[in-house]
Amino acid sequence: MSAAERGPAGEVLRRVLEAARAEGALEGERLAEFARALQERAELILAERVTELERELAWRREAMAGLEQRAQGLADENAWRREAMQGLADENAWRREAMQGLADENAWRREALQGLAEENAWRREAMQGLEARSSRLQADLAASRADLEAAAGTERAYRELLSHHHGLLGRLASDLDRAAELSVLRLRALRTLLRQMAEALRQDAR
Amino acid sequence: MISAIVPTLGAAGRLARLLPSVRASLAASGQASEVLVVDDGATLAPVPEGARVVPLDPARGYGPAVNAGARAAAGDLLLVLNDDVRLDPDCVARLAAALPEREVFAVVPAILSPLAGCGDEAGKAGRWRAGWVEIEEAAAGARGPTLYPVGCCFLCRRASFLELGGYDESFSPYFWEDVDLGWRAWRRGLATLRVPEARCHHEGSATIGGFAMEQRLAAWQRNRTLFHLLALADPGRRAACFGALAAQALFDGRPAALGGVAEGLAAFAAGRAPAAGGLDDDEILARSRTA
Repeated sequence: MSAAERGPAGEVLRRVLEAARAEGALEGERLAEFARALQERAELILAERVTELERELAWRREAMAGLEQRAQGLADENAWRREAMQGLADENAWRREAMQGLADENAWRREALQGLAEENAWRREAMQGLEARSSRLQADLAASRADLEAAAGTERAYRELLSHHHGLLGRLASDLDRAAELSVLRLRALRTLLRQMAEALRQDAR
Repeated sequence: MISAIVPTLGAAGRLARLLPSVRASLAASGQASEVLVVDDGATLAPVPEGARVVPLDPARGYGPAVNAGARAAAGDLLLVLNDDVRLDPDCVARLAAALPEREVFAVVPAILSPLAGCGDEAGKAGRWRAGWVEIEEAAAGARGPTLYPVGCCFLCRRASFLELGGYDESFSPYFWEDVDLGWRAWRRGLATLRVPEARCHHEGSATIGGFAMEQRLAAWQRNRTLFHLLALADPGRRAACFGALAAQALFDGRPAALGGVAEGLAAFAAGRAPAAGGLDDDEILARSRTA
């Protein structure tokens, strides 16, 4: 495999060896120095890389542990959320049932309300009939009262008239008794008395 | 005269916040001074107060920016700084006092930083490990040698810096250029000393923090490869380095790392010669270790 085929590292190695060869660093005792340093440096580089890898591994392990912890946390949270979801679903179903019950009750109440409204309308009509009848009765009562009052007035008038007639008849009877007691000589007085009686009767006859 | 050289990628806000501490520390040293802000990419606005701006267009990275500043500097001493450091008032005076006339290339303060495991970025030591120089932090202690002057703050003689050739610009944009500079100085027998009693505070990776991780990995691998191929002189160590590179090609599967190695090899192959003469590689590591 050529240096170019080995990539940048191969190319760098080629240049290093070329420079080393140019100085005779790959010959005799110098080759031993070259090889020892190569081995020591390789050990250092590899140790450094191993340390770096170990550090990275430790870091990755820590990161992984953190991620696993986080994943566990998320799984726990997920389970909790699932439970919470189930609880919410159950509660939802219960609420839906309760809603259905309330809807049924609502429908029943609406029907009852409709019945009450109809009854109310009927009662209102009946009330209006009663009120009309009451008005009529009150009017009748007022009319009756008026008639009664009128009848009472008439009766009073009749009684007054009767009393007046009784008084008049009493006075006429007294006048007739006086006329009967008059002597024939007192014809003129008799006549006057009769005329007065006639006038009283005439006036009462009007 | 001390010339402070501060390369920046347009970090005007950071400079406005942190440069006053640099000016104050320079002033407290009692020496004449100047502040050169190397505007890498020529995007800096506004110009920081009290600074001379050296524009670099297009942007060329940390090493070339410091080199440009060193060429433009008027001082005989260079205070090389990142744009995200704050200096204690006596920092420059302590560094200047600790820089001898000879045999020392640079002095480095304690670099207090959240980037350093021991809290101080300044102390660096190298050891051989599986074909490469492995850089380790050297805990803070008494004054002593260190492998290289960490690029975020050091004081050196301008002449030494220029004689060494400054930062090797093939390391641009960043990483390993300061190791290479210190190594070359040590090769010539010029030490880098840490001076813990001088203190600098480093916010940390403010400049390269904006680059993607893959980009930074590729740059790191490229420049580590390049450093070893340029800096090592001993044939046995070089053979071991090639062995390590071969192992990386064979076993490091990261595309950015492989790409970085390939780029490092290509940069070395472009007419560069490995180091020769002076202290040998083992001696450099031995001398630069804090006692």
